[in-house]
Amino acid sequence: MDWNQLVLRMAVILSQLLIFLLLAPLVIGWARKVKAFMTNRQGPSLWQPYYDLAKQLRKEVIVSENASWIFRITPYIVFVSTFSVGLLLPFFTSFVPLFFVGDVIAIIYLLAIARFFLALAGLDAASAFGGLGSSREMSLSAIIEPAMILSLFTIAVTAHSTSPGVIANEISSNPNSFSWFAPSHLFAFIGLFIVALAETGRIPVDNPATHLELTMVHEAMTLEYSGRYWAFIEWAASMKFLVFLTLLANLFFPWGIVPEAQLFSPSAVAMGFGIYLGKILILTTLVAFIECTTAKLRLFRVPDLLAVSFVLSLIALVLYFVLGGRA
Amino acid sequence: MFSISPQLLDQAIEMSAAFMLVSSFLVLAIKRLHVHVRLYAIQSLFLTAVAVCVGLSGEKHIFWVAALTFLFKVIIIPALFARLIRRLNIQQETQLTLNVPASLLIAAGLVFGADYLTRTILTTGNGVELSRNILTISIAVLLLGLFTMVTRKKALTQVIGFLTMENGLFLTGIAIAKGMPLLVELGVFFDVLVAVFIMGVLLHRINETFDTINVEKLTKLKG
Repeated sequence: MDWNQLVLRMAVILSQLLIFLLLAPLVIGWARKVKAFMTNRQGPSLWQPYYDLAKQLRKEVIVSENASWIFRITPYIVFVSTFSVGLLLPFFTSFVPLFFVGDVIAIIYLLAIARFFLALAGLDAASAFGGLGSSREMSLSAIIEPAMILSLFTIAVTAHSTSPGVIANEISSNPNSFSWFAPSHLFAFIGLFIVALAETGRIPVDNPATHLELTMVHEAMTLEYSGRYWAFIEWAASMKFLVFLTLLANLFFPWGIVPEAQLFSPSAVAMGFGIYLGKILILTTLVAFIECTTAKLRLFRVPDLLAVSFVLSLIALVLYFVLGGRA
Repeated sequence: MFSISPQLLDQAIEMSAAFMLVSSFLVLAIKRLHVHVRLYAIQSLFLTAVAVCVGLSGEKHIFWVAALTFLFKVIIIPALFARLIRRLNIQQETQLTLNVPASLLIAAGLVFGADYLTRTILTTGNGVELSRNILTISIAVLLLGLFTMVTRKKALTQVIGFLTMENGLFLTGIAIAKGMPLLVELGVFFDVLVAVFIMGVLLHRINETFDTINVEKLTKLKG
């Protein structure tokens, strides 16, 4: 491999990490802004999540005297494992930095590590809410995970690969320009969309804007955290949101993604980046729209919704084979 | 006259048929009665879409079927049901003999069964593909309608299940057999309409006699 290639790859890796870190709070800010706009309010500034993070990072950390080392180490584990997902995903280019390390399965389980430690930390401080949040999170994730795996496998079967970069390439370069207009494709998308809402704690499942003890799931686990630790966990949560949006945008509608061969052309990269940003903003707006127009489900009704997601993904997979793999 | 590529039309037919399948899944996933009626209307709307696509692919007389489907199944029958729900003044949620996740899983199994069934009927060949896909979906819709009738206790939901089965049959009739003679189609439409009327009257009677449309109560004699 010559030097040019190497420098280029390093540049892609660095830019991906930067995008991932810096874009994530903006996406949350955008979601809040859209929600505020739809409910006829002005809402906080688009940059408010950055201000919050900056302030929390400077504040002191208060730890319960009952907490063990798990409580202290969890924010870093959550942050790092979510952050490393950023190297396994295609953002604006279909070249994935760590494509030789892992595929969509690695992404699923990196997110699972973060969730596992967050649930442990929720139990660790021995507060009643933490335990409640952990038990809810784990019981929900037991249903979410199969649905997520199934929907990702549906798209992987379509592209004959589980590597996200290859999937994006395969689908965007499919000669049949209506390949996305296939039932299996669409149902897997809807399935993963419901999973994304559940995993990132958006409204039909969890409400990101309240601390109401009857309803909270994610908030209940992180209630004991403050200062720097809280900043890391919230930042990781916003990155997780971006991970799901990127999966939805780049695996299902990977138009305009830059193939590796075109990375030398600045105009192609700028174009690809613009398209990626547009897709993310559209998806965020869709999520915010759903948050404004639906009511939060009762906790015992959530498994019904997740079962719908699971079955949709299952039908998607069945339909792919029923419809003779034409998609 | 503009023309649309036949491949796109085929894909649109499959897509609409798949949405019919999903709407019959959602009847199993959601408990509220008026949502069932709305889902039936949506399912019929997708049936109309299938008919329009078949019509666009050259079978002009299918447009009549599309128009009739739209008139009867998307507008009149759902409106009748909506009025019925208002008039009966009944409890808004159906009761289940099987909970939602379990029935969804069994329903997914039924789709597998339908696929297995059609694979043995139609083997691969030129032009068979679309027919087989549609046949699979319509048998699946039929089975899901039957499953709805078996596992849901409210009489209204059972009627919806019956009509879902009828929609599944129509899907085959339109997309594979390219429709029947218009006179037969008209007869079938009026049949369905009359059936819905009779079922409506029946529901009304059941509600008057038993103060509920829960069919479990019908096993007891009342004089």
